Amino acid sequence: MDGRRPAEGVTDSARRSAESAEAESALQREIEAALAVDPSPEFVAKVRARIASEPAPTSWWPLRWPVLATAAAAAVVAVAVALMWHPGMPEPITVRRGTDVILPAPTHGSGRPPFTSVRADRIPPRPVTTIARASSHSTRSVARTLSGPREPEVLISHDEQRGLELLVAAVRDGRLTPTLASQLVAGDATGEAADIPISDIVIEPLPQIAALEGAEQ
Amino acid sequence: MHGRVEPVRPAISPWNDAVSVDQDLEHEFEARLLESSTLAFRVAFSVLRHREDAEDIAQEAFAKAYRSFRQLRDRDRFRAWLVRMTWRMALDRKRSDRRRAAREDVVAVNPTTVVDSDAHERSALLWNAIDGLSEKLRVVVVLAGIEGHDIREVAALLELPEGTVKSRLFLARQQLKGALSWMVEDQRKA
Repeated sequence: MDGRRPAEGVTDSARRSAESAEAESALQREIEAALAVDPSPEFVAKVRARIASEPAPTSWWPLRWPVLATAAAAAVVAVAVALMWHPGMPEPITVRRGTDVILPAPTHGSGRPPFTSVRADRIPPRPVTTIARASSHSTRSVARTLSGPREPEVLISHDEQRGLELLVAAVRDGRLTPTLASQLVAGDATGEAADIPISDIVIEPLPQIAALEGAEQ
Repeated sequence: MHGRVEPVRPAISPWNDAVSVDQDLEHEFEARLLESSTLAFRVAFSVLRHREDAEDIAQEAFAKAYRSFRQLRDRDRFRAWLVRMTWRMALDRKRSDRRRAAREDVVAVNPTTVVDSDAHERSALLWNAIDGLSEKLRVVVVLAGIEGHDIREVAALLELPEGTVKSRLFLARQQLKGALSWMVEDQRKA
């Protein structure tokens, strides 16, 4: 206790607060005076000249409909091309040099063998082939070279190919009515199909083996 | 710019709309330039303390603002972006000037030096005290000292909460008062 009355303490506090506010105000005036520097009168003109050399700010929003229409058309074309590009399109035959490869032979006559075997050395070298394949999952570009790894070929005889073509043509022309295998099984279950007679199997010993067994005895 | 007669639009099409929007953009930018040029210059000057350098920096900041003005059409957003960009560019310029001065070992002479030695001394001490503040406190003090910005306006320029600006301004003033007590006392007596 300093012996002063409460009113004096309040007065001191108020006085100190007022002095602090006054000091802050004086400081603020000093800072404002230090920052009260104006640019040169040519400043705005300089900025205008500088901006004149800049490209104008672009505004693409009013052009949104032509841009969106073009993008949509491009997307439709891309999807159409992807669907029309059948994933089972034939690929060019590429083989590793120095290996045997079986090539389908032309079927002109009935006595010709269904396949011919040739040496890959005799096949003229082929340039690098890039094949763009479209599938239902992805579109990829496959670069295949003569020296690269190669998957085994699927071999189909020409008789089978011809038969399949005839079957497809007959179904297409209406000469044959396709029936699902499940329907055939269902027909069997109803008892409509006739029983197939199966004769007993008789296994006879081979004459060479019988002769050998007699010689050993 | 101002006073330009807009061409008659012959037909309604997206292309004509684009031209019209570009002209509107230019008009708006001109308005922003006129109302914010002093602000940008003073922000740059508070960092560089050099009139020509400050004009260069402010000019460069306006050029950048023009390039991306489509995203800055809102007035408050434009001013906030301009202040921050100018501050950052001025700091970069100051750092590069320091490096260059250190390399060349040259004492820089400020051409804007005030002839009055007393005023010069006071100004130098004030700026030394401001430079002694951390960057967060300094930018608040500077913006509060430009164009009479209040706390709300400083908060909008810095995109900070008003409470944050208020506390930073209080701390900054406390530090400045401590560093410049004699000057404050003189000013108060005067």
